[in-house]
Amino acid sequence: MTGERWRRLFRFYALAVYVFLYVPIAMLVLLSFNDSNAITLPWGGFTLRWYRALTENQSLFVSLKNSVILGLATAALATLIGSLAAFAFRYRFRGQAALMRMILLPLVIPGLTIGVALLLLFHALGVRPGLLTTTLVAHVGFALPYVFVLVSTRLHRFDASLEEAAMDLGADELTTFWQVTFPLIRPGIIGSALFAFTLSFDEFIRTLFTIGNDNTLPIQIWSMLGSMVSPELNAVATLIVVASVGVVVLGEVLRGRDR
Amino acid sequence: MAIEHLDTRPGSERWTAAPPGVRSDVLALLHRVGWVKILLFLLPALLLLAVYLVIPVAMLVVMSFYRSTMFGITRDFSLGNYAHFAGNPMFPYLLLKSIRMALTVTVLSLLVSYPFAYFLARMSGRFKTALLILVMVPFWTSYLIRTMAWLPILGIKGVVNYSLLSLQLVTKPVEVFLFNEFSVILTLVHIYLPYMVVPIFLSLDRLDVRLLEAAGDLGANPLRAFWHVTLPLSMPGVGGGIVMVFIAGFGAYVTPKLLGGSSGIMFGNVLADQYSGTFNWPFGAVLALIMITVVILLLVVASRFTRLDGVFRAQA
Repeated sequence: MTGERWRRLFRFYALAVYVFLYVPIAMLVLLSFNDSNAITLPWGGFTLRWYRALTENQSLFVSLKNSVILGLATAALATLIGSLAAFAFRYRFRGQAALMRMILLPLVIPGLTIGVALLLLFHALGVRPGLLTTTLVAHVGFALPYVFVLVSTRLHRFDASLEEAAMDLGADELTTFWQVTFPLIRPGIIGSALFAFTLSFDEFIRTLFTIGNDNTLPIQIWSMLGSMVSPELNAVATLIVVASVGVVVLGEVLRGRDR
Repeated sequence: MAIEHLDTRPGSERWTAAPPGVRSDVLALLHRVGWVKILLFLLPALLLLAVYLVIPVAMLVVMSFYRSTMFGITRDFSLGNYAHFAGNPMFPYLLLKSIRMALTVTVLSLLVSYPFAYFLARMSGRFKTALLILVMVPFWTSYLIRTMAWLPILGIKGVVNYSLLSLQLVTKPVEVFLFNEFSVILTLVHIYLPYMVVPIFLSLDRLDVRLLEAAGDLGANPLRAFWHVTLPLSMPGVGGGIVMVFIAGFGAYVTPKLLGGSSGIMFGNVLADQYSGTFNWPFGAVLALIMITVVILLLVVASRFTRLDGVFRAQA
């Protein structure tokens, strides 16, 4: 085959993969506007009634509020803890490589086992499950390695001689940090905070085993899935897709502007 | 996944360790502050790791030797839970079945992803970035929702059946699309495809085109050049993708629970049941430890073939 034909074949193939990735989500969005009591086709006309129904679902709003609070707390704590650790890794110390592996290990441990193990720990300690206690620990622990990687990447990419120059010119360490280092890594910090928020906002399995009575949005959806099959679910899902993508796009825009 | 790693300049992988010499001046400056500060910086992360990972996993180990009785959990050392696992053929069967399903998901993802990543890496400029971002956008939405999305598609009254009926390809709805292994595997491939695409793309994108030109100059046809140059050099990405997708598939809970019915059930579901249904915590601890062991074994094997640092980096 000629190069041109190969290219056309590849293009067609790539299109098929994108269809596979996007059609289920697009279908969900489409069905959320479907004027029919069934969760699926046939198409019964355009309606906003499933969105209107959502506005009357009190527990959904409560869970949304909980998710936002938890996400903000997770973003703040994970970014702080992860960035501090990333700073420490600019120095050399003994056991550095081993500690790095330790920090990254949670990325490959299945969330289910973490959730179960945390349940055992909190139970043994007699800690009652709660949104900003047990679940927060689960979410911050989950987000930590991601923040660490994002901030580390940023820290190692900028020119360290800028810091040297500042210190040569008489700035002390703290001034150097706030005037030179921080502005340079700020995009990385903002990006990782937004990323941590999204991770927390979408997290399900670690939440399931550490949550008390205050449901998060994914947990609320999970219980709705068990109890009802209504196009309302499609409407919630659509809103979450829009929100999640929006947050990430916002993050990229903020980072891009800073770059 | 963030797009931080799109930067594939030669120096960008250096964050794992400060290169000797290059920044010695600033390192010397930083050195003055001493180890107390390093420890203070690390302390919150160390505490979090202890509470999130080390102590909980230690609890699993301890719990796995306890016994669950009708009066609650008895704290005498026993290997009974391990014997229970080995003695009941259902559990080892389920373990092997889940490994097989995860492997199927991994192989399918690899087959779909490699040509796709190859295509992406061959694109140029802004278009390439946009297309890569398009791969990752679904990844930023919850897997719960991406799993849920298949319900109205595969169900008896779902989109697929609706289309088949409308086109008169079948006379009555087909039931084999949902609540079995097929629907679980299909959905897991759908959800975790980006895990495979991104690392393979990164390794292919980094590939020096001059190597291929050299192979061509030396008389290799494109197929030979691919086999002897491109493929070996993309192996770190392939290895990374395999590790990520296998672990995600093997640890699945939501997808088999929601779309698996009774025949598509996986190890994770039985594990979770010990904590929500039957309340046999000690046995659940054994199952969790087995799951972790399988993952660690895979990492040990994989690390002999590929650098796992890249795996971690690609994930963030």
